[in-house]
Amino acid sequence: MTGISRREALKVAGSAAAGALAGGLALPAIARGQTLTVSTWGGITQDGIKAHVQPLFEKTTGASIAYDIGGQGARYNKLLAQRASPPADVFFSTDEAVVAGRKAGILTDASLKNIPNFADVAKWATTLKAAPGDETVAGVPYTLIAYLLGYNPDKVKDKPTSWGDLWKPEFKGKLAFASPVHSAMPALVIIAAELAGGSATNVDPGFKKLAALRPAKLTVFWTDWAPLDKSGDVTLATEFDYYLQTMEEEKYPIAYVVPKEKGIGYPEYTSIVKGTKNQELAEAFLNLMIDPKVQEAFAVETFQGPTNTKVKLSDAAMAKCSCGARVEQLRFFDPELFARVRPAWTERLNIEVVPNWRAR
Amino acid sequence: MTGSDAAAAVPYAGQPARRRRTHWPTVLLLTPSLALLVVFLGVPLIVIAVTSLEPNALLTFKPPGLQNYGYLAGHAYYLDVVGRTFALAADTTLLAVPLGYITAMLLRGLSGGVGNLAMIALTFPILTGPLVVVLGWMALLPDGGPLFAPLIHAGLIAPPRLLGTDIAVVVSLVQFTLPFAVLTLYTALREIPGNLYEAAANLGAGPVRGFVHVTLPLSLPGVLATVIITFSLAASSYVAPHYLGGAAELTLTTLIAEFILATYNSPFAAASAVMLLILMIAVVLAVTQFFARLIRP
Amino acid sequence: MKEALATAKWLYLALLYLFALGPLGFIVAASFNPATSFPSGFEGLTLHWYRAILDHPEFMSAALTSALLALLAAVIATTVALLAAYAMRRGHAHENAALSTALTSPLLVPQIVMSLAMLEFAALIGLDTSLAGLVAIHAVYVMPFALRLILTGLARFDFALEDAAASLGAGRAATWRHVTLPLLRPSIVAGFTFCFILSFVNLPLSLFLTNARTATLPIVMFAYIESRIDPMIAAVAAIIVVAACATTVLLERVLHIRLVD
Repeated sequence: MTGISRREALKVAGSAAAGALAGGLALPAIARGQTLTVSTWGGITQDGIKAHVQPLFEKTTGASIAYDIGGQGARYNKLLAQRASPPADVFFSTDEAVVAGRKAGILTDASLKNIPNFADVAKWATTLKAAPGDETVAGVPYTLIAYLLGYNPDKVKDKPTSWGDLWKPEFKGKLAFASPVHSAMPALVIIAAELAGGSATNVDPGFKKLAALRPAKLTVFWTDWAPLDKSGDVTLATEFDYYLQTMEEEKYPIAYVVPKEKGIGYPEYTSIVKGTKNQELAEAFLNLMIDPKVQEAFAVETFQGPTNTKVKLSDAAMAKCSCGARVEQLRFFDPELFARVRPAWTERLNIEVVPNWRAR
Repeated sequence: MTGSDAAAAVPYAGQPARRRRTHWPTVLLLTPSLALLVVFLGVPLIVIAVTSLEPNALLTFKPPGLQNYGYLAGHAYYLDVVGRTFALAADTTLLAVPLGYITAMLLRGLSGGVGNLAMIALTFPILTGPLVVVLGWMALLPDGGPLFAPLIHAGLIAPPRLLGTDIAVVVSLVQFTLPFAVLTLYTALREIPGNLYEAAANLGAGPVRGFVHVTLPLSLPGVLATVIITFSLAASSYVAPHYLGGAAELTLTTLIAEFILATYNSPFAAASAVMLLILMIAVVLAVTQFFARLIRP
Repeated sequence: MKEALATAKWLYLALLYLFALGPLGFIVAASFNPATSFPSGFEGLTLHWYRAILDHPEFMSAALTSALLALLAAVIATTVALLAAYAMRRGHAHENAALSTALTSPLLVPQIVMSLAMLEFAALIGLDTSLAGLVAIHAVYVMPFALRLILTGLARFDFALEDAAASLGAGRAATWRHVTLPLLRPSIVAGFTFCFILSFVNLPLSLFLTNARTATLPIVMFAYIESRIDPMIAAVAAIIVVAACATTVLLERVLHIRLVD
């Protein structure tokens, strides 16, 4: 290396590495005392926990919180592979994933005696049957979100009213539709089956009907299609209400309706990882997730509906999340059924349905 | 079988082959890389291979068995996915390599400071990661986006409907792989001694003949390296097909991600991965063979 | 004719750079736009999205983790690749198809599967998935890129120069330091740059191997963008570009290392 003093080079490299070490490893390092590791989604959910749960949690327990963030699938696989020494204490997921996780032996019961707030949780929210015994639960439903129809009011003249509108010719190639791997997919298969004269136990007509759809974009998150709504390339979409409300707040051209056949209600759960060394801390965290104050903040800031019946929201806030009257307009499906049928149904979608979607 | 192998066959090779003794034992110098490979690639590969022989939510059989492979190979849907993956990678390579070649040739003519800046600037889009750049394409490519909306409005073009097609994916992949192609080819081209051009010119060769008879043959090892790098980057990309691809346009990587992340079917994911690996090795061998023949007429 | 050729040359470069940098430029522009939805027409100038990063310290710590990870992975990968490439050329082992395919193979395995397999393997032997695991798998993955580049650089390397140095009494270390390395420097620098970038931006390899302490920047960015698509991500991208520029200038001024000599 001509012209470089090696000592100089080493000094620069050394201080750079030391700086990176100090910054990269010390900043997120686990602080003194006990730490509860929360496995959750980044963005809205992590921000909500950081702002409203973490301060309360640290004050009441003296422990701190660390976050393992990522999509549900990636985090679930981490738990599966690291059963012997779980990388997290608390797991955020859909109710279906709690069913699957308990069956796989990676999630465990929570003791109700440490979760007094559970007594105030609405009955419709507890889609998971209680764990064996009256003293425990499989997890707590900390919010209710709903899968609905969103549309671009600048481009759509007659606002959609039914799931059946997805098949209208005007939305051909202008539709953002749930990907086969979307958590709502089994529900959409059943709804399509019902529209075509089938039912939850006779889903063949549903697959046939879905094959007639012409989506322009398959989505898992609203961010997959939001720019297309803005450009007018997508005019109708299936999406969660709190995402649609977020879009409205951020001035995307969007409006949304609960279909007349009812929307799909999804309680989101937080549960405890089997083998955790912080069982009681985890239960304290679960209790805080369904605390009325915390739930109110989640509802007001992120439009995720509260599940605690003691939460009092203003009318304006009520109109923006799944709560009050909207709950009556939602259907709740059995997560046990979803967990059971998902592998086979995803495969049928891939093989029988998706190839037809290629034609635009 | 490598780029340098091809180079060794080029008439101007700098030195006669197999002349000197081995200074340091070849084996010793190869040990670190091979050890790294065996431990951190070989062992995970064994885990993958074993997993691929296991039953799962879709197929029940007594392990170990090849049923997962049979299933995947027996469905047109999955063969389609394989075909699309390789077609996307091939298209990307066929576009990125010539574009990168011309760019590298032109950048070679720039002086040090400007050339350095030009090269660094090319790495910006890849430094920010594929996600950010793909977001840019998501904003630019829709019919209602800033690129096409004015043209459509003025009646100059019909709505191109690029987003959600393989074209959009290839556009983004070419953009992502281009910097790698330019940098590799630039490195290869600067290895060609300048006095060769003078010699060619002295012998009466024009710029075109000089290129065909000097530059191109001598740069072939670099072209081979670029083809392999571009092809593998494109075939293993996840972000572009996920965000810019169409409603039904899965590739092997997005399919594997589905198996792992959504249906927790790691045996199927593992079997797909092994299939991809075997096909990729076949492609690499074929491409290398093709170049070797090109260099050794 | 000559002028037309020069014009064509600049036109080509201009179009190519527009194609290569346009989408990024569009994103960087969005980072100064107060509009919340993406993409939006210009509604003024703001630094709001840059301030917003301050409320997300996880982005900063993740960026440092990623930089450290990429640095370590690139150093390891470039070093072992240099040794391997040298040995292959000098020992004529580059004609060994099995060896060369083996050394390229990390390129050919789907990374998301490697990540999961690595996690399962680590769990099997009771290893903690820490930064070390991440560094190892990143180093393995980026190594072939460095190898390919350095092999290209060695294609016409004249080993007689080394013999000449040796015959003049230079030891092996001195020969390497004063003859071999300087001649190979361009391809080593290019290889290192490749490795660093590819590790820095890689998501699928890290997918299952990060934990609460080792989240990398791509992991944090993807987690964020699942629920938000505001221009803060654009601001993060702009900062990365500025940091890359600063590093380039620093390397050139202090260490006299250029990507292009």
